[in-house]
Amino acid sequence: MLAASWKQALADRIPANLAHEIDVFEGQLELKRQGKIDDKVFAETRLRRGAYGQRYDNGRRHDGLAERELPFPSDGLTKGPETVWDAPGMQRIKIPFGGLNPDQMEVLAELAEEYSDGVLHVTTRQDFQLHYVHIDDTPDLMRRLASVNITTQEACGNSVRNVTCCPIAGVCRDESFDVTPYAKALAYFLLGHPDCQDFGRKFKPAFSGCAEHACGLVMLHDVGFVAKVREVDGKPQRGFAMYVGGGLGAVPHQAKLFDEFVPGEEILPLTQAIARVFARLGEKRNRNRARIKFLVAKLGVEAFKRLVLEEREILPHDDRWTSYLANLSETDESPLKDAVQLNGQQRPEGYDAWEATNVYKQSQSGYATATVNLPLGDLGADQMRALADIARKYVGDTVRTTVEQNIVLRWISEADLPDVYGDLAAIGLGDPGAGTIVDITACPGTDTCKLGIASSRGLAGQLRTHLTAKSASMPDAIKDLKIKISGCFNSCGQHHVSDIGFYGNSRKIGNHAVPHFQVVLGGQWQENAASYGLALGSVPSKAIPTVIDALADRYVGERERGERFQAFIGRLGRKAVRAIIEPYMSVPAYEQDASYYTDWGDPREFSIGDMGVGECAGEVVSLFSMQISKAESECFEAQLAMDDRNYAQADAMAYSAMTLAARALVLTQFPEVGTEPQLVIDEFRTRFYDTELFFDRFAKGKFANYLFDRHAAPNPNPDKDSAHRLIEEAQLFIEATHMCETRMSQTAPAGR
Amino acid sequence: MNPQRISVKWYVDKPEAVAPDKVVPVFHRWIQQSVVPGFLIDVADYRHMIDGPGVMLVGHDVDYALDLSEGRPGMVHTRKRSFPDNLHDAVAGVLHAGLTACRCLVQEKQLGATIDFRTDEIRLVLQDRLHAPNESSSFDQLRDAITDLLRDVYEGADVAIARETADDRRCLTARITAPGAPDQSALIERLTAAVH
Repeated sequence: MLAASWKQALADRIPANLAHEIDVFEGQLELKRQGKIDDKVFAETRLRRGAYGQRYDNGRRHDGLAERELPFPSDGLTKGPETVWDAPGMQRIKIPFGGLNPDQMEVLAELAEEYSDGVLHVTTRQDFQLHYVHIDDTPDLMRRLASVNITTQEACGNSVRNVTCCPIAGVCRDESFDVTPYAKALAYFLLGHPDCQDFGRKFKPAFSGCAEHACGLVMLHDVGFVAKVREVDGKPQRGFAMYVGGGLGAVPHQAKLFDEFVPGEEILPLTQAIARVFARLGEKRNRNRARIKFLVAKLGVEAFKRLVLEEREILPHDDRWTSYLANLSETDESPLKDAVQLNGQQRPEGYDAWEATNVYKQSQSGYATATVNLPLGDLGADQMRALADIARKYVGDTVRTTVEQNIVLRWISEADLPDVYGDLAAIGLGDPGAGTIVDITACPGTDTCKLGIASSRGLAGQLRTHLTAKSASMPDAIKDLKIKISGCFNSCGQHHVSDIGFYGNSRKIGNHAVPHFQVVLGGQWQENAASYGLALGSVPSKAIPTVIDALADRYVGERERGERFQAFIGRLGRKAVRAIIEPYMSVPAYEQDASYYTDWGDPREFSIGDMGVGECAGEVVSLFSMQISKAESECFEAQLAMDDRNYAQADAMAYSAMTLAARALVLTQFPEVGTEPQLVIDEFRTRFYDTELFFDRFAKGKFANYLFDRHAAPNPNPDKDSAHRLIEEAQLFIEATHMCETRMSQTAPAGR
Repeated sequence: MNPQRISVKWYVDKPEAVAPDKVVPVFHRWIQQSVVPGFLIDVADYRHMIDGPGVMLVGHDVDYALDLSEGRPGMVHTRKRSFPDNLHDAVAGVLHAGLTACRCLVQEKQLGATIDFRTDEIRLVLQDRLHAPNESSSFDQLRDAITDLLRDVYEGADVAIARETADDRRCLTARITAPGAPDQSALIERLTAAVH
């Protein structure tokens, strides 16, 4: 017999904590439909579950002739400020350190087919994104992910985003040691951590196994760790060079060295301390200055470090800081097959070109890692399923996403490489050129992003075709260049760290807008993204392929022996380099060549009218608002349990709702309260009941007693009446909490 | 059985004549002029993917695509919202809308009569593993629901309905073949009668 719902079908396959969170989220959707949650609070709530907006979700689109209303049947219902309920959205799916297994790959394929357009997109932070997803489908989507141990919690919003990691950690020939267990530990330690709930902006950590390669791109992250080993008393000690305050965005900042050497047991508490300082001192009003990079720049890294160490001193101990160190081998991988050298096996056509660019010999003799070069980071559901089968056949669970929007298969026995290539080619995933100039990174841009100005993917697709056609005769110096494209200045395509980068903008020519890209040259990918390129001038989008050719020709013709592109650009100087691109900066008149006035892959006359309000910055809502929203959802869940005649659960959830509401108030004075009910209630009593802050003029402390009474004397046998009564009391307690917070904010000093 | 996403693929007659790049502006114009049924939103270009979804016309309740999967181009129409309350009517509607879109594409002057679609083969996919898991019992239900429909619209042709694969990881998929099928116009006429 078919299950009535995915919730029912997966009941025994979803971890209880994940199941509960998703139920709460689903309850919040219902409350929003009933108009009981504020737009901004709901927007931040769904963002923290990875449910993002998409272009045109304000209900308007320019169709090439005129701006049109999109007649969504939402009847005024919104899922955030200016975001129509029924408009398609994007679901971001975090993959901590990029680690995937075939079961997860199959579920991802299913979700793409049933809730999206059949396409999975790998992002520049090792996540997946699904586009054109309806908000109503997101709870079931999340349940199906949870059944294979994937959570979307904090994939977006003002939270700790995905913890990224070098995709060859553990198999790299140059690494100091495998950083995977540390990345995993940090990811799950910070997930939902109370000290990470009050940020003014997102927070992105990264790990790298070595300093000299690109790997984890530590230098462009909010906090980053580069593996190091030092000798202490003749024994090797593992640790990390720790960096803080990096970030791209409109104005990139290089991370600053926080500490030359942080031992493994300190990386979690120090990051927690950094989170506390960021939450306390980070900017929250001006969203454009709210990343931690601005705080570090403002204070200086030494002063910032002092504050962090002071915070570290007072952190209550948490066993999780070090408990993972006893199980570092938990993330160790075992090869599926024995290592056999590749000796004279038949090589299929195309294999040699693929091996030259896509295969990396691992530190473990006889094994290799193969990069699956995904065009623009995309693969279809059928391809993903087939890739899962290839993984099962050759490598087992050892699959990772990469920040170059590809997927790697690790631990391939070298003798299997030709067959792996053949199997990949059979499913359309055998393209060579991974990591080369044809493997172009591009953010979604104007395809789906509300902030996109010019078509990053359209340009990337065009350049991929243009450069692939030339690749056979291309000098090696050119083949090794990296091109990255962002649809706007916000750098999601990481254009700052490529040899040749572009970010979208627009220029007015006569009465027309023309898509352009700012040319950014000389970024450094190596040494963990050691330096950023500089913008040199804006070129119309349709002229970019010619600009690439011009730059490539000059570089090949004039470079000194062994001179890297960045050094070449530096040697030439800004003026001379600009002179190379200048001839291509002019735009022909519309009557002469109207093609310049449309973007790649889009015949509509170009306009910036379709840009919307981005959600990358999330919504700054108070910690109280976020917490009380959870209390309300829990109370709603209690009602559902009662409707299902599950009176014990209804009773427990009503009590939990009151505790959550009490905690919401306590957090306004004591952010470190934790979640243990006795502590929460004690703090609530001391701070709000004994002081009579919670009292209102008429009810006095009555509503607080609902919580105290239930806490002191739980009902051993709740029935329908008692559950119903407790739910009513919980609702009244929540209302009273709201009133208390309102009174407090009205009497608070100005500027709080 | 009440699947919440159903798609149908009508195959291109001469695959070598297909030029997906030319379909992009056509789909944009279909949005401007509401040429095909459904609430249309945007065009998604996936031509860079080998055997991928090709060029998609994404809507709120429906999608269309000049699909390039299986190495065989075709028009894929997907309904993803607002279903009739029985599978017979749902499939009839999807077949009708898909074939109508085929005819619109065939008639597109911009394409210069280079594209046409076969009527003797259809791939029908129920993209809903909860309500229509890929099991033999589900396939039996599907077949029972659409046998009369297919017999009516393909009157005179030798219709066969086969389950594409028993791999339960894949969506429930039926391959419908009908040698001697009527032409597009006749089929659309019969499907119009079936949906009304």
